[in-house]
Amino acid sequence: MSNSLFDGGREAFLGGDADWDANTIKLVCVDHADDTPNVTTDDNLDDILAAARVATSGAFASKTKTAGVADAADVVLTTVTGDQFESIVIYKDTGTESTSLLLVFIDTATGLPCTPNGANITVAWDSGANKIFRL
Amino acid sequence: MEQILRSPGIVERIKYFACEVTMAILPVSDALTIRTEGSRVLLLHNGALITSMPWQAAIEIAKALAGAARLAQEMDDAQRIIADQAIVRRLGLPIGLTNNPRLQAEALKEAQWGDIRRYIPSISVASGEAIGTPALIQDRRKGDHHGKPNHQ
Repeated sequence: MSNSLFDGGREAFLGGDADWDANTIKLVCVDHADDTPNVTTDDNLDDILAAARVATSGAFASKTKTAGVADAADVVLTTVTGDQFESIVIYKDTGTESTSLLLVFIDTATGLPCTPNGANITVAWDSGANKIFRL
Repeated sequence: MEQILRSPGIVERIKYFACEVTMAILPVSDALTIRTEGSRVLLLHNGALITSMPWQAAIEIAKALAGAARLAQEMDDAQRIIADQAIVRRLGLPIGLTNNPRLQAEALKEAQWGDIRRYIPSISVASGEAIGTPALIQDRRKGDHHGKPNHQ
């Protein structure tokens, strides 16, 4: 697979159900040995098995959406432990897994797959034209 | 006859007369006729003079009539132009068959939603989405002086 938007994420953006800078946006690190996200059929966080979620970030800060390009401050995951993870998934956090929309699937990144060593992991977003993603 | 032709000014008078009587009769329709008299163009309807104008004005009016006629023809052929433009759009070719924005809009609708989709089904507008390539940087564990950031 490659970096992609979830189909449900696209629908959410087009349908006005996801607001990049107004909603709470987080990321989760996913261990594909337990569950490999499917960008076509998975739509909410509960579609990714809890066992596959190695670490979850706090809410993204300093989000921008200028010209359809989503960006935010780099995300720091603190003292990460657990299994090796192969992808990160960005989602809209509603506080309820069954309504937390999956937005972006990223399995192509410098440093992936990553085996946590108990220290912090910083996710530094692309500084090029596409930033986190571009619609 | 030779004596007549030698009379002063006769050649000029003959030329003038010839100019006055030379006329081109161009039947436009059974009722409408265009003809010339000297340097003027006459428009007649059922033999009655409608207007007489200098040739320069006639040329300008002819250009304007031709332009208006093409626009009128375009409206008469609107359905065919829309159908052809829809095919061109569906094929993704950057060619415009008309400058009329209403016809172009109709052609776009036809290309997107019309029956033509069944015959040219595979052309679509690709998503412009792009995902950046982030970097995961893992700090060293405390006391791990030999560890490296996780740039795998």
